[in-house]
Amino acid sequence: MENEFGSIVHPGNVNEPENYKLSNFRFRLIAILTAFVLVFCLIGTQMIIMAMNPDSKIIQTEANLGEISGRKDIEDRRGKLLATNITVNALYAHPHEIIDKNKVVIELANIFPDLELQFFRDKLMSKKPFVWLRKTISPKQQQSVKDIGQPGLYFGPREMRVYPNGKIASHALGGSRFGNERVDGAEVIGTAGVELYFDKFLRKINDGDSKLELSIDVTIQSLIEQILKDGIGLMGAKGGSVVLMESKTGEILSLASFPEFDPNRRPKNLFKDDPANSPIFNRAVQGIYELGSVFKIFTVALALDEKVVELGTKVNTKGPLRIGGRRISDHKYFGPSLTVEEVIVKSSNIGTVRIANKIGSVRLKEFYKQLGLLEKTSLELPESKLIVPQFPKKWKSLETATASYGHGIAVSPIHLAVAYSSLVNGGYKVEPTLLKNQAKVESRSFIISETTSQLVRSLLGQVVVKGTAKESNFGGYNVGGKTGTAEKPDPIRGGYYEDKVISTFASVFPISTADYVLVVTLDEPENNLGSESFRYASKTAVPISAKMISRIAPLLGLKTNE
Amino acid sequence: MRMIILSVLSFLCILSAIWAYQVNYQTRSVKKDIQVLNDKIVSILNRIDLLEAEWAFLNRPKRLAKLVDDNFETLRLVPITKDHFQNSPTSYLTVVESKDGE
Repeated sequence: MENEFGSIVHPGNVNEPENYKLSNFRFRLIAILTAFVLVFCLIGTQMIIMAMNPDSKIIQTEANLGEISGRKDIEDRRGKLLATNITVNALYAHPHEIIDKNKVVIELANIFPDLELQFFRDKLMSKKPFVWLRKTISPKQQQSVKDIGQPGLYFGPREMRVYPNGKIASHALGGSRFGNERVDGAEVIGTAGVELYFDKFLRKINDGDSKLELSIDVTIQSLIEQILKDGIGLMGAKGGSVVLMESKTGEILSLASFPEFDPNRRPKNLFKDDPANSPIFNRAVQGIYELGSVFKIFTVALALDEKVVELGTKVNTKGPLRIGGRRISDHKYFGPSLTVEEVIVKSSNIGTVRIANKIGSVRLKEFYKQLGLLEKTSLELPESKLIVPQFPKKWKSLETATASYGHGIAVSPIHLAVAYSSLVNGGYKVEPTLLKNQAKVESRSFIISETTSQLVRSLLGQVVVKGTAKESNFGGYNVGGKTGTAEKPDPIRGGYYEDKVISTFASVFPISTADYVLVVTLDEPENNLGSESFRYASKTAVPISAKMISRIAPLLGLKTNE
Repeated sequence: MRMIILSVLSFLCILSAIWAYQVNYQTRSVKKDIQVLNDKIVSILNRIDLLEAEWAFLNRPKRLAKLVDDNFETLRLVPITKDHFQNSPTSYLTVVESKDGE
């Protein structure tokens, strides 16, 4: 006889233990069965729920697009592209798979005329199982390579960094290169400029921010670069730089340095003896120069703020002055005395030194420090982290005297733009920035009073109306500024060159609100356009600045009656 | 009775097995579709990137300046100056009138 589970039970042999065993056995079976049914029901229900509900998370993870673009775009303040990625291909080969190597070598040399035949021969005849042939190739070149019709040539996708505007804003952008390369992709690494400074941020994709917004305005930047380039050509200068800054926020609208380069093909530093001659050298940030008379306004601003002088105070300008064994004179005799206003307008060294003496060396040095002239700037460029201004360790009467008119102290054009912005914006310190809308407005620290700031503005205006910058046409705009012509130090013989100068014009426009500060610096300019040759800033940096302001002020929406 | 229950149960079992089988293959095909769509999206996004780069390249200031120069005869575009700003509608009118008078 069989029981319901098919096991044979002997009749008459049913005793207590057997019965117990049997019921135990049945209980286990039912328990297991129930467990299985329950689990299947559970899985079934889950399946039904998932099938019914298309929003389920498991399906969505499949749709995650992940790493499409390897690096964030960089845009200017109006959203114009400065740097982006495009997908191209890299070309690599498995030499042992190629049948007719000679044919491939000749064809490749035809497709890539910039590379030598020998280059491909060396690569393909080598014993290596794998060789890179080219980092990026165009779609047309890719088709030509396919048309060779030989096995062993392969393409790997590449995200290539492109700078569509070419040389524009090259020093701010810096450049990039390929890092780790694999067949299925390569990482792009910033090598200089904001590409390097914000490398981590630019690489972090899918973090909400899709781009890096700079404070640069490409339209203005390109105009300024063009005018600077033309001006340098006319004056036969070695180079030059421009900084255009919003005085109230420290945002840099334009940062130009000439000679420039193309970040799409960033050159290696080819000038080992003097890096300052290389196109990748950023003169506006890395170049520290004794800028000369543009510093006089700092001394006078402090004197006005401390109330040791007023605009009309007469200052003794009889010279020459002898301090610490050094002779200080003016470029021409201004008579026995000038008012403080005239000292700035006519740019008198002796007058400025006498004003500085009224302030005292400790306070003057402290003021320079407050203006940021004695330390690194906080600009978001890796290059600026290395640049510390040069100034005398001991600050005695001679050092105070020369520093008061901008000698013996070397700073970068960015430093100068920051100091001028802080003087004219109402008197609070600004930090230079290359990012849009990053300025901290809450924590303003005033270094001069608002009244003094206004006086400084009118003083700078007087320089343009009747002083060293009066000959130029600023397109009908009310501009203020101060010129500076400083002889370049001679690194070999010591002392200063007589015929090589750094000429600078630091300007502010429009005078009424002083929204923008423009600093133009030229390296070894010489104006030969008239019958005589001039190196003074008034004949070199000023006309270039005037051209720039008359072109960019309308683009900034400024009307002349402002 | 037991037979009926058993056969109904086994019928249900076979039915659910067929259903599960179908769902399995449907899922796979949907996954494949998603992959195809993702590839398509990626290639379209890449293309957008490329077109944006090209747009920026075509609109680079240097090229625009050259176009303005080349087409000066027809377009007569000149750099914006202070004279292009107007203070109020009245001054706009006076300018228009003076032009008419010329």
